[in-house]
Amino acid sequence: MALRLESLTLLAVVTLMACASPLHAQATPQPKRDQEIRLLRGNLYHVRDGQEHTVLLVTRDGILLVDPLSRAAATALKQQLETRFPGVPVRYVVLTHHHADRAAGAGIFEKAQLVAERSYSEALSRSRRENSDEYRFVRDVRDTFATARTITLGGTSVRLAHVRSRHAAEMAVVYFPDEKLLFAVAPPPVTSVPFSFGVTRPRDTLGWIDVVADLQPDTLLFDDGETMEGAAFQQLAEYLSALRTDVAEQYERGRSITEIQATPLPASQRSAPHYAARNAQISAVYRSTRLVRWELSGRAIASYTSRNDAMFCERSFSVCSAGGAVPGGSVGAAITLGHRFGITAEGTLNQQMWSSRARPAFQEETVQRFSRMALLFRYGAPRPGQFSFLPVAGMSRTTGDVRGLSHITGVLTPVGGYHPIEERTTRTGQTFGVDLVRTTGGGFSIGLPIRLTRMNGERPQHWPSMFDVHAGVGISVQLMRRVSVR
Amino acid sequence: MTPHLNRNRRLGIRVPMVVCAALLITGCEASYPTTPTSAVPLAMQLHVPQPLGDASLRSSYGFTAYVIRSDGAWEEVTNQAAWSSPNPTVFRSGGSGRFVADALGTAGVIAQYQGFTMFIDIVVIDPSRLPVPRLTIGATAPRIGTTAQSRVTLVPVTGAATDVTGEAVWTSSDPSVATVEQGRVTARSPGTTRITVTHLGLTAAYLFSVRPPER
Repeated sequence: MALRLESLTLLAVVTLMACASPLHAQATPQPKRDQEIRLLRGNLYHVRDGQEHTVLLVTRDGILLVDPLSRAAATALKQQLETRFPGVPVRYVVLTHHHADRAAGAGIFEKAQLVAERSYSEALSRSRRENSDEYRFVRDVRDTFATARTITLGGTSVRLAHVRSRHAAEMAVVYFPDEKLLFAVAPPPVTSVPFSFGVTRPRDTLGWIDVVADLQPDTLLFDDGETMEGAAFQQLAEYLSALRTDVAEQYERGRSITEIQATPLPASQRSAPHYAARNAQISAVYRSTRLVRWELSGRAIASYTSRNDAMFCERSFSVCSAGGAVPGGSVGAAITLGHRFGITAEGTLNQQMWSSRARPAFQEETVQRFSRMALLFRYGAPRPGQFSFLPVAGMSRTTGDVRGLSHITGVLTPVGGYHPIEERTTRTGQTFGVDLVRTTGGGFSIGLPIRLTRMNGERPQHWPSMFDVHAGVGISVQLMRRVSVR
Repeated sequence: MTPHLNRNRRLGIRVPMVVCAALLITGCEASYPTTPTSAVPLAMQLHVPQPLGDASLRSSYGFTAYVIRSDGAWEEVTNQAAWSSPNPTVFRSGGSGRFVADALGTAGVIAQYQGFTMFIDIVVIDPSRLPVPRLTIGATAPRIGTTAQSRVTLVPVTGAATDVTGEAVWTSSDPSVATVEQGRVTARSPGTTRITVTHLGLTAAYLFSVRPPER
């Protein structure tokens, strides 16, 4: 009896509360969200929310969700997951980049660990400053990675890799090795046949392709729902790799775009479906190609200083002998930037030369050893397998070390008598010249350098001249060669 | 050049080129194979700083000693030389070439250095008791290679003094040091000479030194 009374009372209270509620506050039926989850393969699910697409991986230890999309999408998705996978928590939310349409929903999964590339937070801060409303729900990420990261969940691995993208600097792709599927957002136009770089930067596109090709996916799924067969992607990657290598080699040889375009690719590449747009592809790669090459050279030289220069052998001397040719050596390090310019740092050391001069009551004999450091700008670059004529010009710093004796007779000491001469003087100057270079393969080249140097300032007392020329022969070895695409 | 410098050692460059290449950045030193040997004195000279006739009683005088060395340079050794007088009661040495005329008479200056001995004779007189007629000389000291005019004046017993430079006979005891003609003295080379002038049987003389050049 008591139980019946309690039930009636509770019913009355509920009825009263229902009557007291205003009509507009009554729960309105939510329009059904255009969102679906379907199994792709294995434990990998494809999520479509309107026009947006993403993926999630379900394991026994939890769910790894990639890009939770907007807050509304994430709210709906969370409900679906709780219904379809009750008791399985979302453990990881991987954010491909920070844009609100892909990342704002992360806040819905409060207990999940957010993972993104390391420049994510910096990019997010920048976007917040520009548009605080749009980004107010996008969460910061503490768990970041630099180049790549592997997350293991429920015995399944997921690989994250940073890729170059103009869309977002922190862009990451997500690869599911068990399913051999790669998910990517805002990819370069890899699905277009024949391939075209379009408005993308070749460096970004080729970098993206390199990273993804290394993962060797069977299938690529993109954020717009489009898919691409792994075989077609690998074919494109190989085609572009061959094209890039070919352009780089010919760029290094100094060939123009039209000359390269006139050179056919190997037959194996000619059958590629992308071959039809080869000219545009070459043009884009060529304009973005940068060549950096480091070389080390060693040369034997002969250095000539004008004989009996009038400045040294002035009229008061009845006997004078100075200057001439001496052997020497030079070592240098050169960096070639592109196929037009280079910078050479060169050190030269000469065998010492002898000078003597005399007049009544005065005699002097000295040896001079000159060393020189020069920083030279070079026009042109050595062409593989060819003779190259490369003008150089720049600044130099010459140090002359002089030792010897002077002998003055007939006057009082300390002027009279023998006097040791030790003098070390440095002069800056200008060095001009040319390198005649023939590359021989294997990273070696033979060089014939010719240098003319004019030193500035007052002539030091024991320097036979302020002008010299040297020429020689030597070899260069290539230490590093890097061809990159901007 | 000279025996000190051996050109044949050119080939014996002490610093190998290989080492130089390693030190290229800092630059290598040149290598000269010869260092000068220490010079030894070959001859000595005794100089008077100013032309000096007879020494005056109770006056002080300075003398200078030079050596010519094996390297062809002159060196002043005044402070290193040992100075003395053969008649110290007349002309007393104060060291370092300084002398004082203490009494009338004849004396001299002796300088000794590393086995060399040089001597100059000196007569000490009392200027207030000079006889007349006499000749008086006004001399200047030219530098080597230049000329200076000395003058001689005849002071008679009575009457005014007369310049007799042109009429007097001038001689130099060492023409390699200085020559003289009608009082015009030309310095030829470092050393000391006695310039003598004679007129009407009267004679006057002074010591004259040509100093080695300083440069």
